[in-house]
Amino acid sequence: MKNNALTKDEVQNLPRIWPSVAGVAGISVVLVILGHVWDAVHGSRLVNSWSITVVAAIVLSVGWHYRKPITDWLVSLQFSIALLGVILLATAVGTVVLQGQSPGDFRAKYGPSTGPFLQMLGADDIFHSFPFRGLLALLSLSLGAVIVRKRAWRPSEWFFLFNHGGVIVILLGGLIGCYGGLKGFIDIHQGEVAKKFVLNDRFGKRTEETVPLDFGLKLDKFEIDRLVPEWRLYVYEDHKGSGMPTVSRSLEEATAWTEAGHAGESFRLVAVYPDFDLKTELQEVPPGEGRPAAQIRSFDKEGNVSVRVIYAGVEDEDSLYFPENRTLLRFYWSESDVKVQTETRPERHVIAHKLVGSEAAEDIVVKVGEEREIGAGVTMTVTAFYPDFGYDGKKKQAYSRSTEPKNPALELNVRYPTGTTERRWLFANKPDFNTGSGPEGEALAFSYRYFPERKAADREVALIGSTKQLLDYRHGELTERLPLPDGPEEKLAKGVAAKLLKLVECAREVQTPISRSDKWRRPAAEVEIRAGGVTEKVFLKSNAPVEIGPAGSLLVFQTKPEDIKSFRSSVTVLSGGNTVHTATISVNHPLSWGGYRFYQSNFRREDPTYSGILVVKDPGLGVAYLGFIMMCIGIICRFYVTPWLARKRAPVERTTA
Amino acid sequence: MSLSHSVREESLIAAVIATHAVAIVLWAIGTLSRRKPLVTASAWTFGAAFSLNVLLMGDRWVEAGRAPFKTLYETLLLYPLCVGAATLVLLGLHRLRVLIPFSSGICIFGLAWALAKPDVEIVNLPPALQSAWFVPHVVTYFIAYATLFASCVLAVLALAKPSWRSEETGQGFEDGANLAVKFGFATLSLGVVMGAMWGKEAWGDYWSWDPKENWALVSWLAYLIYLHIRLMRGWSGRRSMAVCVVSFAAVVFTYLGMSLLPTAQDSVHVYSQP
Repeated sequence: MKNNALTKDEVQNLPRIWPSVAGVAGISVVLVILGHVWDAVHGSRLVNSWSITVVAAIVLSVGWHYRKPITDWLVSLQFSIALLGVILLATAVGTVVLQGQSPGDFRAKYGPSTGPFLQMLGADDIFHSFPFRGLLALLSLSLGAVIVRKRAWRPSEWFFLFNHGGVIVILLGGLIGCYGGLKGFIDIHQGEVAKKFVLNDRFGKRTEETVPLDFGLKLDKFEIDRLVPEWRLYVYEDHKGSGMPTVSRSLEEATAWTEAGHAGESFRLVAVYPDFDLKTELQEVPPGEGRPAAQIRSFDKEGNVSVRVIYAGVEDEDSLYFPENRTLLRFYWSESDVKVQTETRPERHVIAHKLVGSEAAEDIVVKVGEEREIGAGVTMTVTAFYPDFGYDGKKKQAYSRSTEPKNPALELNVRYPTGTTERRWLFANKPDFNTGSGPEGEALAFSYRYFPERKAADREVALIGSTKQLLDYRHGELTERLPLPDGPEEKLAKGVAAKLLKLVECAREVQTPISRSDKWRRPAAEVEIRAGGVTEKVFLKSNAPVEIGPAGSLLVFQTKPEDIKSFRSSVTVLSGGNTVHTATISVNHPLSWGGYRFYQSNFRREDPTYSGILVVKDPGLGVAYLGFIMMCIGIICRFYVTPWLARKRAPVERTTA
Repeated sequence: MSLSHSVREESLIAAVIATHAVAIVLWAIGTLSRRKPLVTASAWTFGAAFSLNVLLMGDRWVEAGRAPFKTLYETLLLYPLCVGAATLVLLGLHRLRVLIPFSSGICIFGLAWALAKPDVEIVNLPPALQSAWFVPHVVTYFIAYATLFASCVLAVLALAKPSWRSEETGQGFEDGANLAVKFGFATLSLGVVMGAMWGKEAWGDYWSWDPKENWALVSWLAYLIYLHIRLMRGWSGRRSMAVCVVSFAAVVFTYLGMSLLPTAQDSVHVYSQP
């Protein structure tokens, strides 16, 4: 094998390699210096056709005078090995030193002495630097020289010609692409026509410069295919810092206890709510644990219905006011408690907030414009009040349809310790808790009750729980005593637009998690977490991590990443207003037109009609590909066909010998 | 990935590891006691381990619904498969049975690593990887990596026992190493070129000085230097074998070292784990 690969031409008499290594290293230093000299004189009056001619003539004549030793060295194995070694080293350096940084960033990164030194060597952008290109030119020169010296165009040396010449051809293709090529970007929306593109610099960053196209590229349609979102439970071990989950479980699998990574830590999925919300229900409890409660459905002329619970003996919560009739319905358990209200009470906004799963809700009375800290670093600002909430979808603004408190809503700005803020609306007619994420990512629930300004009521209807009676007071005087209606379908009393749904002597409100629909609108998972022998129930809002135990593992309810299956642009090429070509561009399937290639490059999640298209012009592409093919054929054939041909020839040679 | 699949995969990996371990034991006993049938049995056991590895890969391919070459974990299953194939070819063509313990060893290493750090789920293939080039590019590269591993082992053996000759073929370790380098270099070249052509289709450039590309170039250049050193009188023996060993270090770094590089943040080639 060894002897087959060796020919007399290739065997050199100089087995010492270090002089060549030193020589190539010297040339590299000269290239670095030359680069700086060129930078210094470039553009000055010193550089003109005369001076270039003179320098070229001197270099060429010196080179011609020493052509024999120079070419001997260029075609030597020592030189090629040394040169390949230096290119190898430069390439490796280019992966260790950050490339393409701004000069300032680069110095900041590498310090005031190392930074400028590396910059002086061109190491901050090694692959586009003068010395590196010089080495590649030298490689081409050496390959060319060895092809000539070996007279590699002879049929017997074709494979040698192919693999050595192939490299020259690839570098030539690269050179043509470098000087004749362009790269840029088109940001386009559905329906728009691009007639130019923005030029990129060599690191892919956009410049100010644009290049006109001599045709128009119209984006007819942009489509993104998403995979069906797969909701799963993930465990991240934060201290590992890899950003990779250590456990992933499908919802089905997660219903079994799953180890979370640290000893004694595990979790189990109890329930999933695709469209999570909390429903308030009245639950009867033993005496002493609750209060007398009446669940009432009230409605107005326009048919707006709301279900409310009022509690006897609790201020603000014991009554409903019907502004249309200036009538107050107030709930007492026994008649002896009745105390008719005669003074006017101002408008009040009461917010209750609590972490889901925790028992206690805290009531606070707020005013518009007020900022309140509601614990655990969460701050809430009441930004607006809409008595009759409406939403303008075009302006993306809330407004009030009227001044009547038909659909009272409070606008809040909630700021979390992480710095994120969230705008949300609370609706008095939908007193069920509105959920959001809490400071640690757990669900934070709000409820809102609105008490309109209550003039000294003309009329107060007292609902007496123990005797099931209604006492009608007008201007403070008892005028009528009525029994409660028979069923929940009947109106309580004339002028009181409400029906009594439930009356309980001792009750408590209970929030039960529900899913409002099957759609994955506001997914939440109810999970049991066990750590250190304690089992705790937690509601996980989507994408909001919750700590599992003291070791810092996080449990996250989220969809599987990489949800984009494909994205593509349907485009039309227009020339003089006429359609000349239509195509679909997708990743891995560019469009070639007019000397350019158009690549599907970007999409924006928040801007679904946007398509980012990369534009590349590379006139050297065909040449480079020819080089690739030549090189591969050359390598394979020189390894496997040449020895085979030699073996075929060998017996003949033996007989002739 | 379902739990049942990950359990099955774990047992399959364990089975491949166990079979490779048996091959090593058989080889060691056979070689030390000079019992040829045992060494032959070791080769067959190695073949069985390879077959199980094929099954393992096929199972994951079916489960994933795509070629399982995306993550580090998946390549840790692919690499032993390619080492198996390369070793079997070298066994068949050149009777290099000495490779068995080393190849089995590296397979056990890769698979044990995979067992220790399994993917928690099967990740979806991003659009750029959904290409006809994906399978040929990766497989060609891994065959190259596997063959070059064999060349490295043989080069180390050549440095240790330069005068050893096979009774069957009359060749020494150096010849074997050289054979393996040639095949490895040819596949490496094909892999680079395929990668370049894929890069052109996917990102618009056949070469973008990406750290992985650069290290592929570094390993390619290292073997190119080896090939030229082989032609130099007085350098073809020990020196070339040393270069062969060092060159494989570049391959290992190209495969596994990318995340250590400061420039790797923007690379499209750094193995992701789900």
